Amino acid sequence: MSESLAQVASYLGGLAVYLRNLGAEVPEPSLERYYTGEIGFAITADLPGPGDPKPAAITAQEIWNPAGDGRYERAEYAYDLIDYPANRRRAFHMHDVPAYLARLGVTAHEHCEEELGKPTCDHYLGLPVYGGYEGLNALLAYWSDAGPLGCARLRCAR
Amino acid sequence: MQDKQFLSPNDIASELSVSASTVLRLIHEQRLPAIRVSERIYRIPVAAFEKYKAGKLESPSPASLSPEVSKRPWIGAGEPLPEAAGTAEAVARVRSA
Repeated sequence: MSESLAQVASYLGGLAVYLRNLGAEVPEPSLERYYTGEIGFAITADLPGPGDPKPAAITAQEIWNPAGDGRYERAEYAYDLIDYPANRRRAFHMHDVPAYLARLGVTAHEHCEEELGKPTCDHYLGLPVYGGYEGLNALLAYWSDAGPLGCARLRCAR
Repeated sequence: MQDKQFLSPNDIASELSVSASTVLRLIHEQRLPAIRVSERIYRIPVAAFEKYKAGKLESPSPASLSPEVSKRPWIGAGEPLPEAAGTAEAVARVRSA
């Protein structure tokens, strides 16, 4: 689905406010224009709660390709949760699409670390996440649950 | 309540002296920020509820457009690509998951 530049700017502003209203610290986001003609952004939010060794952090990065008539389509993303207080990580990614399609036959993959920095699998097979709100909410659901992430239930892509 | 990081709709209902269904309505109307854990389960960060009570929830506004053109970042930089695998099998496994 393609969006105008103004729609992507509204979407990005909405993502930042969504996180802020949940209590996160989020710098004012900016929609970037790249020499390639693409647009994109990266926002990082410090989540409320324990700050030892540092607060849990959630990031959203997206790249949107020109789709003609001044419109853009989301082409790549990375939504990441690094839960420092709980020492774990969960992420949903879609990037390097031709390489992943050639090697795994899928466009999206996931990361899951029950113990931060000690993944039992480098890439898990994933299904596409249809937007930032869906990706961030899914990560926030993991963050809000003190139990295991459930990495062992995912399918390792090796 | 202060030692909890998250509240349930029932916690909020008790705090506000309203019914749980009223709290769920506030969530569905996006007037009370909440994390949707499943179709029926929501968690509300205490920090979000404090903002709600203080009337400090923000309304969305468009992000600014950077005035400068910059170099495209590389999403996933530093992340090793996976080993090649049986493509058709991999697709089938994901589709059936």
